[in-house]
Amino acid sequence: MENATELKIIEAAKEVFQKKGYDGARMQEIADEAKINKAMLHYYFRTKERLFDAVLQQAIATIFPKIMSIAQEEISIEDKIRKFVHTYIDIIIANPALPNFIFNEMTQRPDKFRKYISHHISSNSKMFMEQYKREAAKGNLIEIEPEQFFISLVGSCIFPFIGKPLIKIIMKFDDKEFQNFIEARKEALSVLMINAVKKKK
Amino acid sequence: MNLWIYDMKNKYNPIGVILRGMLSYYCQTEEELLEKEMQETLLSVFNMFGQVASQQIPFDDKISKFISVYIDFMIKNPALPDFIYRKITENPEQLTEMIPTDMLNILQLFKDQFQAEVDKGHYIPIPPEQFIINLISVCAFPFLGKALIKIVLKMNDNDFQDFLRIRKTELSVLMINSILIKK
Repeated sequence: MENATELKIIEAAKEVFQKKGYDGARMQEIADEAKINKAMLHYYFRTKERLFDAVLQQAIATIFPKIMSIAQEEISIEDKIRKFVHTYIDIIIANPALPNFIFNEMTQRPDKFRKYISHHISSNSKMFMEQYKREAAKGNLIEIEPEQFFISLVGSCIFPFIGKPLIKIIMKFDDKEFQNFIEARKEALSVLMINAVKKKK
Repeated sequence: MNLWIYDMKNKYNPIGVILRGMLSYYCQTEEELLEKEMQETLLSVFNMFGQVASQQIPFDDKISKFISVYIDFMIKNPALPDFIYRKITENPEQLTEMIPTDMLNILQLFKDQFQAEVDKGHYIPIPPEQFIINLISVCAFPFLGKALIKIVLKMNDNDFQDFLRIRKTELSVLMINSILIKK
């Protein structure tokens, strides 16, 4: 049961954890950010770890169910690729701090992630890869390890956000140009990734 | 010669002390030492990209070469991706200084070559930046997202190494195919 105070705490904790990571975040700072006192914070979340788990689960819930459920839809691989790319990029545009937070914490605490995301990801990604294999066997798509394609798809959606400062430097983009690049990327990437698996006729 | 080898191994002998003294003269902290080492590593990888871009070979072959140079290099220098990631998130300005101006020219060359192939009707009309960032993304992501990939694909460390090894050829196929016109 989540009440208004609890939600306020989670929002504040999200800010602090995303900025400072698990190790750098202090309960006092989270209490200040939520504009409550520390005793109140402890009443709702007795430890930093519990609070972190709540934030992590919320972050995971923001991304994974939406993109991974696409795998279950009754549509072609091409349509899934396009939908995956558009949905994924839109979610990250709306939650720009999320990729770095997830990357940092996943590297530090892989076991927590395994616990919380396995059920979102494993069966759905398997479903996608099996559909790929069936289509390739029918001769509709090129023969390639579906895992390699799937990881490429995920990587090409997420990397530009993580590597934003680097991309801005090498492409000489200002913030506005970077935004336009990302906006155009939804369709450009869909085209590239669908074409990547298409056979030459 | 023998003396040198012996002395390098024994940090308590006089020459070892001198070496360590010199080391701390040039690099005040371990962090700085790592920075210098990484900066040199980064320069050598940029040089390799420069060589790939300026070779007189078909563009398709350049894509394959870029992928295999990149992946081999990261496998051999596993500390580099973490270092780059840390710089990207903590201090992108410093990263700018580490990228040689040559690199920007090389990138321009690569973009022009791609555009020329589009104009000749060999590749689909897509902005060169989108393709290049895609190429970098698919190469770099597995090294940064190792933890995620191992969870999603239920891999152990060995499986992950195998995954990287076959990735070179699989990615070449995917990336070249992604821009070819299908008739």
